[in-house]
Amino acid sequence: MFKKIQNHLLLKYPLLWNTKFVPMLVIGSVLNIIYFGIGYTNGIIDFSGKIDLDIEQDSFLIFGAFFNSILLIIWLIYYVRNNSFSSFYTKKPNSLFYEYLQIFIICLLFSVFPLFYIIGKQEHQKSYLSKSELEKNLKIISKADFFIDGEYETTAIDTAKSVEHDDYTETVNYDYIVYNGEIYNQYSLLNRKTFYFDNYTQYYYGSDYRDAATINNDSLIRTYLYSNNKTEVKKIMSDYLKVVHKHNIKTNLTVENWFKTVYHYPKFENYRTIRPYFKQKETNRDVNEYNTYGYQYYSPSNKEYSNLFVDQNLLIKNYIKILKAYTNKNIDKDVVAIILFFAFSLSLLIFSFRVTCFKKWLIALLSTGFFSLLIGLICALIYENVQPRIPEYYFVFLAILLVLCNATYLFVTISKNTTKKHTEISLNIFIWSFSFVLLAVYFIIADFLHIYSRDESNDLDTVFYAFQNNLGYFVMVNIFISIVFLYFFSKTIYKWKGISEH
Amino acid sequence: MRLFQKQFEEVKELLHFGNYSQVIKRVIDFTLDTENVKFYKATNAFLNWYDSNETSPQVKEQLSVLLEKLHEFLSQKEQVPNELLISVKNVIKKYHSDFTLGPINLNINTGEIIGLVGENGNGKTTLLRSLCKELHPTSGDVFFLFNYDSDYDLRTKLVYIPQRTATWRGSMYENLQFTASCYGYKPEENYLVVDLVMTRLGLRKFRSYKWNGLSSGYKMRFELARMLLRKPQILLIDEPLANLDILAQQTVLDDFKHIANSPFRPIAIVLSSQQLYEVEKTSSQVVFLKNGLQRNLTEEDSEEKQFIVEFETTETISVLNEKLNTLHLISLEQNGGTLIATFPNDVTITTFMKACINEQIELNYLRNISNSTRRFFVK
Repeated sequence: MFKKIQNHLLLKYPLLWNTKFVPMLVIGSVLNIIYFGIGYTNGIIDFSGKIDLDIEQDSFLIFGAFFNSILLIIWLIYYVRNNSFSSFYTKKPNSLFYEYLQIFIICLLFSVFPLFYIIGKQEHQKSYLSKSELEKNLKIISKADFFIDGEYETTAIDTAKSVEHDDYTETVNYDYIVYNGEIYNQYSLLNRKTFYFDNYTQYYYGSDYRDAATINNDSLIRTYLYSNNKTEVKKIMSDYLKVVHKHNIKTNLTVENWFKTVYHYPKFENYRTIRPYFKQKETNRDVNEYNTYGYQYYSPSNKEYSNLFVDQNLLIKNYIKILKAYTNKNIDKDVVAIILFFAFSLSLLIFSFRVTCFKKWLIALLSTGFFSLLIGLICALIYENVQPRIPEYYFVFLAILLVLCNATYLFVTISKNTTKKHTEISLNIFIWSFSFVLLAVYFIIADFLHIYSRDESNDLDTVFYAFQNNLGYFVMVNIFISIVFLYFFSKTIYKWKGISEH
Repeated sequence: MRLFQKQFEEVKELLHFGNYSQVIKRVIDFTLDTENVKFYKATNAFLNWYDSNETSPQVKEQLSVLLEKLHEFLSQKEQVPNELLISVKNVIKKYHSDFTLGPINLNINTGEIIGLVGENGNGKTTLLRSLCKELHPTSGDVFFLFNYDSDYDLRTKLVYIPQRTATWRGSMYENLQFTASCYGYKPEENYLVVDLVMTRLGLRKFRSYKWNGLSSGYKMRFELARMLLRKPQILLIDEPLANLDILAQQTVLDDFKHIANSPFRPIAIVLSSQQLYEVEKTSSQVVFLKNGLQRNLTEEDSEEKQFIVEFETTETISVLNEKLNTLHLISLEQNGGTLIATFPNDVTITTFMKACINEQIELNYLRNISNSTRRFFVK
């Protein structure tokens, strides 16, 4: 099929044939569908705890990057076989830009696979529960953890017993709490906390899921306990067991035996902790994950589990997966910006190689690397050793200046229209660096704001954080502007190519 | 008589004497001149038939019919007169610190073949590269007297083949199709034109070959095929004969002559070569370069008013000096295995040969180089 399409393109659209655009588009799309499929398969959530298909995401992405790189290298081998621009075949000025666009789309198709993998995984994970059901169940699980193996609230600091040392204070906490004028033991059930799903949304993935996922229910449950509201407590237990049974989570809990084991009004002291994992799995590595989810920093040293258990660890682990899938923070603007930037940079490397030649491309690459390293080292030495410290944005200014010097040499030589001189190297460097200028200006402004917001109390701090937080968007906008610039600059490259070599 | 009519009569004569291979080449030239798919198809159909019926008695008849149809069509087509393409005025190129080419003055017309001769390192390649705009003259001007939109567009029309050509990757046939496609041949005529050009250059059997499987001579032919598909104004070829055997050299030069001298699509060809005799036979102008300086054979001021002959004999120089003195011998020099004798301009080849017969000088080789750049090499 490819052969037939390619033959048709060869006769009608030689540029498309040369870039192997259609086969690469098909291969890239199919691959991304496969990555989506692998992600979807990997997004399986097994509440029985028997299957754990969770392929290590990083390893898989490394494999994907390696595999896609090989395909791109094969593509390059075929692509560089013919170069109508270098051979001075008749061409319209715009065709260079079309060629660049094709390179960019191919690079993008082969760089975007992590997103397809993650989206596939999340779609499968999301399919287990609707958003409203998830929100409802998260609250139930969060509350129920209070009566299973929840963490204890830290008690207040006993300033009388705390000891001041020269360089630190050895703090001692009270071994009791006071709630509504009543004294309770620090390990009383009343001092327990609900499970904070917030930690998996707010801390790692921002705060936009905070309200939906978990509301701090601690004080609410303490009110139930304090007022001996058995009905509400039993309702929490009953709701929880419905969730547990729905997912066939292993448990021997009933509302009655659970309530009887943990609920001891009024002091809530002589209760026994519900084991949050299935016993047979005790040697399984997964059990240890509880520490990750349970925040067991503060607990009685003689904590004993009752014979009652529920595989709460597994339930939480799986709900966190679903929660993460809904919060969708694996694919935030920064990840998209990184992928776009990578594809854009790669496409510029390939494009510059196409419009010049390998020898000059390599010289440009090595000299850029060498001088960047050298100038970087000199700047680092100056930065570390010169007092008062030179602001970082001065060095970014220097980088912009170097880019502009190269651009001046390139454009002046082109306008003279005599010989190319060293512009083949200069052109490579310019193609790689022109998109850096706007980004550098962005960094300078951000750094400037940062310094000013530190020195003076003003609103610049807010602007600085706005700059910092929107870097991803700016990278995307910069890529778009750069591509538009390339449309015009490709005509200059066309003009440059016509100049005599020596 | 119109140029086409003259060429047509020549081909008819070739057909009459059964020189089919030559007739086929000229038929292909005529077919390409039509720029008409109908004729592309007809000639290709004949070539496909000819592949398996080479010895058939019908070949002559089929060729005759095809030729008549082409004649009928092309007789109506307007011929393109030869015109000045490039004018080089006092061009000097200081290329390396120790070498300067020029000043060069040269006019290049369509339909012409210009031979550049000279020893190695005397500026032939530098001149070719200057003509294709790869090198910018240090002083002087190269005027390109045809339409072009930009410098890039100009360079697409100045097709230069260096002596060492770059390797072709992938299938030879696909490479040629790609070139044809880039140069605007429509899909339905692409493979027809490619087939015609390949056959024209004797590459019909080599369609499926890879670059590494080809001899140097055939690599050059593939380059020529690609060049022809590029519809150039001028072809600049560095040492095209270097890797060809003596027969192939003659064939390629004949091909150049016919391609350049098309009545409908004339182009100029500038080639450099060491094969003096062959180049002189084919070229309209010969430019001799010595240490970067130009000496044109056809220029009035370059004419030495002397009769110069190159010959080989078993006689010694002293004996020859004595025997040829009757012709007022100016000088007699040994140049490798041959002798170069210079006489006043009133001596002719006939009087020289008569003198040799009278003096019983046994000649193994003889060539009048009075009007050949060969004399520049030996002086």
